[in-house]
Amino acid sequence: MITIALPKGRLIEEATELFKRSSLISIDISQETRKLVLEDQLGNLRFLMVKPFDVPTYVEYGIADMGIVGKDVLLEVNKKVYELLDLKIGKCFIALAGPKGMREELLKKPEKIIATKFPNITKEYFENVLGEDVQIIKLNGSVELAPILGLSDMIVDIVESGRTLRENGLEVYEKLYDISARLIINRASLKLKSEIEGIVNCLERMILQ
Amino acid sequence: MSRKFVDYYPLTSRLLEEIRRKTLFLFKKFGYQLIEPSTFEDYEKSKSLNGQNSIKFMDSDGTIIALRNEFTPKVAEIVAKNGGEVYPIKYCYFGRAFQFIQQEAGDLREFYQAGVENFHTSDSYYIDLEVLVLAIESLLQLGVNNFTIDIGEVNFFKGITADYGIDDASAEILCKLVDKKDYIGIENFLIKKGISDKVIDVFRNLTRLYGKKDKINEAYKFAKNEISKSAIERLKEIFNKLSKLGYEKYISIDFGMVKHLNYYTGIIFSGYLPKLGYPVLNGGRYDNLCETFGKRLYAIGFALGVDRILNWMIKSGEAEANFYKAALFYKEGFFEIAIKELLKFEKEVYFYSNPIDVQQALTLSKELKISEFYYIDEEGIKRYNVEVQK
Repeated sequence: MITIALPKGRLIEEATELFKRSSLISIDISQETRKLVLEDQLGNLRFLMVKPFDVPTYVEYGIADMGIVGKDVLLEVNKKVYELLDLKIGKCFIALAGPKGMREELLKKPEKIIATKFPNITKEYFENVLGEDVQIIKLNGSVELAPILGLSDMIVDIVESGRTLRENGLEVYEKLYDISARLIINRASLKLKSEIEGIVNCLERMILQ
Repeated sequence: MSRKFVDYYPLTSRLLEEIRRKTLFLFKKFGYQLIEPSTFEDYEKSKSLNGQNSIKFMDSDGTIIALRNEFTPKVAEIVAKNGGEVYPIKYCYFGRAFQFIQQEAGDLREFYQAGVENFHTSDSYYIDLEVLVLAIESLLQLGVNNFTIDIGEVNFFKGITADYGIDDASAEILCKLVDKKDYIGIENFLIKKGISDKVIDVFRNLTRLYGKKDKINEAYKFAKNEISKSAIERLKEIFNKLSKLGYEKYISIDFGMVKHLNYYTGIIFSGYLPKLGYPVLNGGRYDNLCETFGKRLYAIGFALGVDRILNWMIKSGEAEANFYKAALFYKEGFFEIAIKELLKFEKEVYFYSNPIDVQQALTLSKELKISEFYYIDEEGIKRYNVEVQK
């Protein structure tokens, strides 16, 4: 049996849709909102429903053989897993954003404060790309609030349509990285379980269509 | 966050000793001599792969010393400085190494490694083979089954990067992306470098060049140069010879396995076990290391992550929890005889230090979950069976 970790949240519907269209599963995962473990007889697959940030952990330890997770999470946690496929779903980007019309002023500000769910990505961008030392405040959600209430000057966050930013009087200053969902695979599983190759090929054909 | 202190209780200590005995027995059988390098190394001169991750101290003279975080550089230094009459020189070791930060799943602050290093004066794939046989056999001897030793050859990748004029710094970045099989990362990186689609396609294909024998023939499609071609030839030869030895089911090939380009110079390999997500064994050829210590020598070796195997043994129920098989009790006044009898025993028994009557001895034996005990009184030594309650 192959165990697959799926991220609860914005990616789950598209991810399960992908498995269904590939004829790998017969059950409707997205309808089963409460269960944490789901089994499907058709492809002899088991699905774990976990928080996006936990997907790479389950896969790194080999508890899950593979997982689906956004590149944003992979950039942030940097785990030793194979990133075999770009699933081309959940497309968005990581951006540096702040209050509308204040871009020039804030980018020149000497001691910047950045609020984010992604402290490592933020640190990497400011230190290695811009060569700047900034204060980072780690938040777990509703990051857009921080500059409005004066907790931070700017934010680093994922942006899909940009609607949340606009509705809160913010705008994108810089686009940092393009993001999409990836299929990640445990190092030992890829080498020891031959069924994985079939699943990867199946999903790959579906993406290329 | 991993444990702050790595203690071994009786069960794990016993397994550790068993692993030590079995691995060293095997290594010595192939002519590897045991050495015990110093725990300390000179931090500034350290040649270890991940040297910045070592635990450091200030020495009394102001220099920085570090706890070793692997054995290979130290062993190489010993050989380069002392040499020998007959090559190959074969050394093995078993001991603890230390690291500052635990970066990956399975990492510990202090960990045991069992390994071999083979130093020789001319390149030979027979030595690659010998070391791979030891890697496979060491896992077999430890009772592991269904594992795979995944083998790559870094020259395959080096030849291709040289072919397309990719500079060393870019090759190092590319190597990390290929090793992660991150083909989007490869694409993005090479597009930025202004490299053509055709070449990008070659590197993208490298991420899928893993599996069994068929991948060796597929690899020829991408090897337009002599370096890559001879890398394939070597892997092919190794694969065939190991198959002839009956090891085919224990090996797999991965041309996309590339790491530390300026350290590894030939084949590299990692061992994976079922139900354990991270490698238990890493090794490879490093023909440039000894030269940094003043002597040009070819070298190959590997190290077993002993704690990872230990972890697997406990997880998979391979470990037997009960240490004692039997116990020895004695009646008041028979201490001297008990000691004399105890010294005659071949097996490990639980010697109950205080005198005790036979009824209590039975009760204690049940608590110890042992199947037999010996009791000494005026009639001499007598063996009793204990009904084990499961």
